[in-house]
Amino acid sequence: MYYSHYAAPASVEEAWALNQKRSNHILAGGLWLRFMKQPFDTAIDLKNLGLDRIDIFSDSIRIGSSVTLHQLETDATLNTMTGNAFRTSLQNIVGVQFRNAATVGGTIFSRFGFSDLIPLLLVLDASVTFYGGDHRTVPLREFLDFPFSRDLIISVEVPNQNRKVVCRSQRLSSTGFPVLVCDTAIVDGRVITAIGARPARARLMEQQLEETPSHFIARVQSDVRYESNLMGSDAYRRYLSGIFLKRNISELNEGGMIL
Amino acid sequence: MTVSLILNGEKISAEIEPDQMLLNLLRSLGCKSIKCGCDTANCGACTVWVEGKPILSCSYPAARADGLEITTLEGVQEEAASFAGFMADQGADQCGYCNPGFVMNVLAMRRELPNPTEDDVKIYLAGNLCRCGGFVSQHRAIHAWLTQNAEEDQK
Repeated sequence: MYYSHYAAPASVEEAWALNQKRSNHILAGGLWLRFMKQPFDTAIDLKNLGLDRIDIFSDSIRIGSSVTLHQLETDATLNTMTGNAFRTSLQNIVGVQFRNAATVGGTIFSRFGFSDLIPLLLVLDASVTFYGGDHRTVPLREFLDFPFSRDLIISVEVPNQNRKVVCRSQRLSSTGFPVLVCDTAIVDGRVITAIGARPARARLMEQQLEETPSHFIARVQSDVRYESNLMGSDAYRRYLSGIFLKRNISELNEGGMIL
Repeated sequence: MTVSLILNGEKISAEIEPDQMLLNLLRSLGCKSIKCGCDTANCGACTVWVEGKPILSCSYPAARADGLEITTLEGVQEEAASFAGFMADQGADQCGYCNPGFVMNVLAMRRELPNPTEDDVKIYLAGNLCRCGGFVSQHRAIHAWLTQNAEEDQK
């Protein structure tokens, strides 16, 4: 990572304005940006914007974009609400030192396919607030399809409600990139699941009314697009998704049968 | 540009390049315990504390550390020496290159997790890679050290 100038602006507006120059880049955790070989002009550090907080409101929990993955992993409220899903989902990412730098904003902005966090946030019905001249909030599932822009992610919001999420991932080594991620919850009697590391970015699937869990599992395997890479074949990922989803549903039903 | 840090309890100002990483800065200031292992935020050999939290100094911009408290192995020598004895007893040191980062993370773990389980230890230390050993001896050393610390805390 090579840059000529370092800036730590005092406001979101100032940071956004700096980021409109194509040769400038936002410095979130910096763990992926550090691999950029092409020199750029200014690294824009968000450290002074107060975005490193998790705020709890009566109906929502706001996670600032500079909140680190380790903060999420260890947050008592988020884990109690989700049945320790944040801990389960994030604890396999490289190491604590890495997770003390990697941020929510960096993960979401990049829409990484290998992200462990994005599938979990999808299942939690998260929204993203970003600044592009004004503040705007959209569901995460819509944001993932937005084209990349030079807007600034401010925060992620999840509803402040209990929603147990079961998270499973397959990895070739315990701290490496996932081969597949499958996070599942049951909401109003219907299964919702997010399949990540397909290897493409996560896809949210919801059980239809009158659809049996078994049929839903088969539909997830057939309708979600899986691809092959060095870590695994499309067939392997498709097979795994069915197994993981079945196990997740069983765990959510406390060992009950899949019908 | 100039940055001001509190390095191992001492206020320091230093001239840096804007894109200089903390690892390079700290080594230039005499903290030779910090090792550059992978330089890709994977191995943990470069672990230092920023505001008490373990981070990978090879991937942490020095400019970001302005005004912050930085702790290296040089700043926790007494506590580190205590743990190092257990590492030596269990034959957990071979080339020693991973050791400083490993020790920094173990000490950080004890501060963050007062009574870690075996799984807690494995998860917390997963970011410290050792090419020489098989991690078993290191876990034995940690377990023995934690046990002694717990006994001393009870006294």
